[in-house]
Amino acid sequence: MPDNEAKPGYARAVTLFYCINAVKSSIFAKLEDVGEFEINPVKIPCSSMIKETFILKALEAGAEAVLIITCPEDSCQFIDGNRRANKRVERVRQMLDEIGYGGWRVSIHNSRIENEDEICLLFRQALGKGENSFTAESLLAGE
Amino acid sequence: MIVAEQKPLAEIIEMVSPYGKLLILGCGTCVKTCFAGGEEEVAILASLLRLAFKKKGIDIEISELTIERQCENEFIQEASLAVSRNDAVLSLACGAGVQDVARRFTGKPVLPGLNTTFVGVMESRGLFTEECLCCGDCRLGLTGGVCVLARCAKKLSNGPCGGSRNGKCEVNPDSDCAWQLVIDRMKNLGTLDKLREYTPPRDWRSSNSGGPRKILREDMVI
Repeated sequence: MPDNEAKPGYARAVTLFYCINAVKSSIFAKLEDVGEFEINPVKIPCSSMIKETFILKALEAGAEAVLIITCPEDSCQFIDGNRRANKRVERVRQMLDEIGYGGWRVSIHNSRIENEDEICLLFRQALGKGENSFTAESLLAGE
Repeated sequence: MIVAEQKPLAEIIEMVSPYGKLLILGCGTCVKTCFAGGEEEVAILASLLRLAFKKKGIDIEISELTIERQCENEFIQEASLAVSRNDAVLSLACGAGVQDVARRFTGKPVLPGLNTTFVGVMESRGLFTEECLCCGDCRLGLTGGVCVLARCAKKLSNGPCGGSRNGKCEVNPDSDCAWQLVIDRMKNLGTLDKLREYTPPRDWRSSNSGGPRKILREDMVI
């Protein structure tokens, strides 16, 4: 078991990279009360700032999973930012799968997050192995 | 530029696994431009190797360094201290760089992290294409600046072959027909008539077929 698999009774560490245009920062104050996760939020001006090394360094530093939240497709203020982020995430996933570390650890979500329930669902999904092609809306709707 | 791509991670992991201390040495010129061996790729590979070995429960110390060029001794010297502190060097450079580093540090294993692929250009972001075979006898002046050796699948010196369709090669329809490019270019230049001239067979002794090549510039030798 890799070191960054959380032990029972401990909060599970998730690193969150989020575009400032996609997530309201006020959400994080409320998340502290949840206590289910150890969240390391990293605010970025655009998801195009995400580089492969940032994601890998987060995993190296002990994150069990990395979640990236970008603006919805075609609504990036910098035109291609979220598309670039998607491609980089896909590359990291492939490389992690290649070394047997689990590409599922890296997830990307392309829509705005309005409240803490939505983001908690995304964290739970990010930590669940396998399925990553989800949206907060579909999870809330129980799809 | 020299275009290369990273070796499969499984091959790299197997290659470096006997060593407890590894230096990943990047090259900041050609292979950086083709996203195979600059600082960024060194950092990515270092992280991946650390994660891979951590998962296997193997203790390995990985350090990172990128120098301007691995094919020039002046730059290689900058890596001396880092090389001396490690058991092996994983070079993210072209084949020339790997060999030059190995020549400089005779007592250290220097391993190739890349497969050197061709001399080419970045046609668009992320797309690299072969443009030169380094044949040692450049005839680009005869073909409007399009190398028919590197870009024609049949390497015809007197073309076209007649097999192309809609400007695409019959061997690989994803590639432009090199001779179509030659004709278009020479038409634009108003020199299409020059193609009527026969181009004699090439003397391949100027290429690598004649053995490893050397160029000596006497004026530069002190």
